Amino acid sequence: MTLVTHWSTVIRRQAGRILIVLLALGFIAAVGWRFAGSADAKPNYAVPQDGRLESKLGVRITQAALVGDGGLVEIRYTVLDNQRASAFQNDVKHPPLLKNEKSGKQAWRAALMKQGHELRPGQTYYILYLNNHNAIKRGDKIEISTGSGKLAHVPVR
Amino acid sequence: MPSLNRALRRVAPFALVAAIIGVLVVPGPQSSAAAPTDGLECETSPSNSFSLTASGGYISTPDGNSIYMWSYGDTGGSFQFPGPTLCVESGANVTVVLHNALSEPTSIMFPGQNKVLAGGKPAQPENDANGNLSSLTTTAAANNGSVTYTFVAGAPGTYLYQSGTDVQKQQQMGLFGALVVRTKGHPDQENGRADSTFDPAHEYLYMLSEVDPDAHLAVERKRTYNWNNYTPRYFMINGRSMPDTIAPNHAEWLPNQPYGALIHIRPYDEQTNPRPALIRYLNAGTTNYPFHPHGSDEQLIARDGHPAQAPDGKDLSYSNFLIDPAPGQTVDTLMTWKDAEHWNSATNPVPVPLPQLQDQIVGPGTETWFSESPYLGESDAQLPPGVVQNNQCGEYYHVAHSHALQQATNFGASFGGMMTLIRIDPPAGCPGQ
Amino acid sequence: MSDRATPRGLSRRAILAGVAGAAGWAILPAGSSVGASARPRGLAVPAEVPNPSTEIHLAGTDGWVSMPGDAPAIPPFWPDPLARENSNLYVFGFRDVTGMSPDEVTAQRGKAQISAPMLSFDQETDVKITLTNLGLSMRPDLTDGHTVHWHGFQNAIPLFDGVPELSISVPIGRDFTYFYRPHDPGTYMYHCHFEDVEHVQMGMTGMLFVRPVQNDGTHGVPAGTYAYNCGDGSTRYDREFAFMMTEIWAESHYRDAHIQVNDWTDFEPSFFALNGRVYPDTVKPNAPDFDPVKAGADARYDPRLQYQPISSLITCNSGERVLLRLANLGYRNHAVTVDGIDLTVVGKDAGLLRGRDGTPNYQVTNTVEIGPGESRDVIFEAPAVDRPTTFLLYDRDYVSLTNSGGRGYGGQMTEIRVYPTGTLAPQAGANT
Repeated sequence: MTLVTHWSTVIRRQAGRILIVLLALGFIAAVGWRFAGSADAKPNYAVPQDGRLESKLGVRITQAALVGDGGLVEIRYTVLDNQRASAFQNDVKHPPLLKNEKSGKQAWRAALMKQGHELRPGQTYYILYLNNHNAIKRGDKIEISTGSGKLAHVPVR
Repeated sequence: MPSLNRALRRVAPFALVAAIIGVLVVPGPQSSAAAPTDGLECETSPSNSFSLTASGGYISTPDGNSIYMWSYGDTGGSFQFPGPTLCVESGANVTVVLHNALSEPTSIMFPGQNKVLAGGKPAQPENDANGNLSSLTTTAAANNGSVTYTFVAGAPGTYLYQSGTDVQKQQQMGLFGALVVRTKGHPDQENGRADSTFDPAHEYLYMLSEVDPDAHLAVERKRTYNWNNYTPRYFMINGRSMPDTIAPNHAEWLPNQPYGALIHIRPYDEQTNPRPALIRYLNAGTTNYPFHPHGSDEQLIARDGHPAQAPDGKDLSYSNFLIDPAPGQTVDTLMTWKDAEHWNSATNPVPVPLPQLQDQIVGPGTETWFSESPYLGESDAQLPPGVVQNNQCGEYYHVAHSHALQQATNFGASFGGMMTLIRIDPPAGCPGQ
Repeated sequence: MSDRATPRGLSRRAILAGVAGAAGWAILPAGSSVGASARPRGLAVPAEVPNPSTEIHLAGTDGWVSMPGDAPAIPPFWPDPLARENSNLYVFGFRDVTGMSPDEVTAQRGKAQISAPMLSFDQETDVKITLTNLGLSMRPDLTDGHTVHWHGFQNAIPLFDGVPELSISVPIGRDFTYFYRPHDPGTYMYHCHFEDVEHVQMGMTGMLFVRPVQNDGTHGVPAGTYAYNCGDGSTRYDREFAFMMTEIWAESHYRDAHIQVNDWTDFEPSFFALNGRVYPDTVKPNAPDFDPVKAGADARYDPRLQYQPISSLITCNSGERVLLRLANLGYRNHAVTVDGIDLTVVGKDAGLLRGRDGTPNYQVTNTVEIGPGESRDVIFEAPAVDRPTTFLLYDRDYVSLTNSGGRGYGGQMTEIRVYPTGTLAPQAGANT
């Protein structure tokens, strides 16, 4: 038998002190959460990038978001090459499809906006989808498939 | 003193638990109600005291631009545009402390509020050393000056608060916000009239403004700007342009633009949904914004905090398919959407052929956004073969936008700018919401 | 122009059935289904409804119109060097092709008019408007759809609201039938909502009004012509004149014709029109319906205005009540003023100006402010005159009273010609 006290015994003996420390930390956390601006809590958001797909489509997908109180899904893209991007926008036969990677449900009914006659390089545009029967929820990951390939694991915010 | 130590140790956990609960429960000096995903979000204070800081920050536009703005934000909080929506009750003693983090003097005017005091004295225009007017009201000095405005909240209604200093520039830079004066004892009435009753769960704010990015770049880089060249390119509701207007309040991709502008209602029903929505329009710009809600008229019930009524109290409100607030003006409207025809695929079908997909434009660009079913709330199981419902739950969407149509663009790109959506859910609501 | 009183009964409907229905579909190319399974046509069976009904067939296309040739040129944009004879400005627009054969409909490609055909319907009538997209003759590269947006229709459902992004638009070579059952009389407007900032500017805008049920004399007032179901005769009129107010940014029309791109936030109009014409063309007579042969042969008609058929000249006898239906589909506010005659504003946005408790809220004024997308119903009583007397109706926003900034009067101005009692025969239709 050693004189070393088991850690659980220590905890039991010091329970009061530990509780106070934990509660004090809790208090600090509560104050921080309650009074700090929400900006600090902003999680990182990143859409996977696929250089080959981007060069084919002429656009970079920058966001998938649930809008319209959950009724609509917004896909935002930045134009890299306006000629290819126009082809992407005009590719009626292959409008991008959104597939929920968890459930397999799809959102396909899109308003692939033609926001004028010309897409400007560097400018961001958007496509809105009807969120067919709640296919996509905030926090899901979706696969965006186009005629030129697929972009997987796009997080929805 | 081991005994006291032990006693403290015994008491401390309870005290700390109480403190944590207190911190979480007791409202701060000024607080926003639990943030709804859409609709007007009030900032309130038990003492009707607010502390705002005028500062610079950035907002984003849907086309990927980042614009340097000035705005009022909660002191100690983060930058936001437009300023917080301050809500007080009519007759309340209101205090607004303005801290100035800008490098030039600024101020707040409260048009529609009478006898505004600054530092306890009547707020007054200011003149420079040469006797020239330098501000329309008492300023907070540049670089961390401050001033305290007090007033008794006037008649119930919607008001702007805005800079009174270097107004052309500071208005354009974004120094404005909304002041909502609520009816004492009747939080569900826009004003003292019973016919101004609305559904508090469907109260909306439309703060209308515009941005010339060249002017903002000049201010950011401390260059002079020739205001004769002023050309607005971005047009906003609550500091956002379409499609950001339909994103939720506090969308994480719009950290400095907390207020959305989506209208989300159910059809009028005498029994189950009799109260209209309330929309508070504020024109914070320098030109008219002729705003056109599709789908239903709106009843104009008040302007600039004054009910539309005759001297004898008779109703002079009127119906509009276009609301055209002038610069600095506010307009409050009641809106409902009624299911006039009750189209039903089985009993009352739409009396024209439904289009096949190839008879709609689905390209170039799948321009259309049609759910395939015109029948509100009908599920695929209810619809006849071949008709499908691609919405969340068979809801309708209408657009609402400025009819000065160049304002319904993002720098010229259509279906953007001063535009939002009106979402109409089936009468029973939207399952899964 | 075609101010269509709603035909009662079914004879007209029977005649049109073959045209707007089967024949209208016949011009369609075989399309391919995108994204979803093909489905049968005509899913919904028309309901048996007791209402009278009417059917209109519109076509959307492009064309050429004329602004006065003595206005200062705006090089290189106006006059447009590509313009056809008797024209100088490229436009998009609607045509009324009701009753035409498919070949005749197709022949209207490239013959758009501004302002669009004037439409009127009786309250509680079942209205079907079929829109055929004939494409753009000058821009075969563009595949623009067209739509009909009945601006202000209350309690609309998205399918018939004409916003392509929210419902559907009609592709080139196809058509679609909109259905409306108007319950609210008053002055509306209609326009294409496809890329609306462009298509509205290019000219796809027109007047639309709904006549109240009290016109039939069964609602407590004598049968007659009224603006609203006022119940007291206060909106009765003898003659009516409608004014679609628009602004024409010549530079953007040129760019559309010459395959160039506009930044719409640069909007800077050059011409200000009433019913698609600028003063002094506004006071010229209506052009006959869509018949260039007739127009060319008849000296009363200016061949320049063949595709701007709607006159804005107001004529009336002393003591008559005249209804002005004003609608603005420009992008700026305007202020319509009449010198020497008091105007009573009785309606705004197809709503009678009365409080919810019935309190009258008519306004007597000389200047009527009207913003983009707004409408006003204004009644005046023609003053007593012993000889023909002219009053001016014009936009007090003087910037809108010139043609491309030139000298003299132009733009949104017209004349009110008042004749001694009994001079003019009763009015045959709006703007006549």
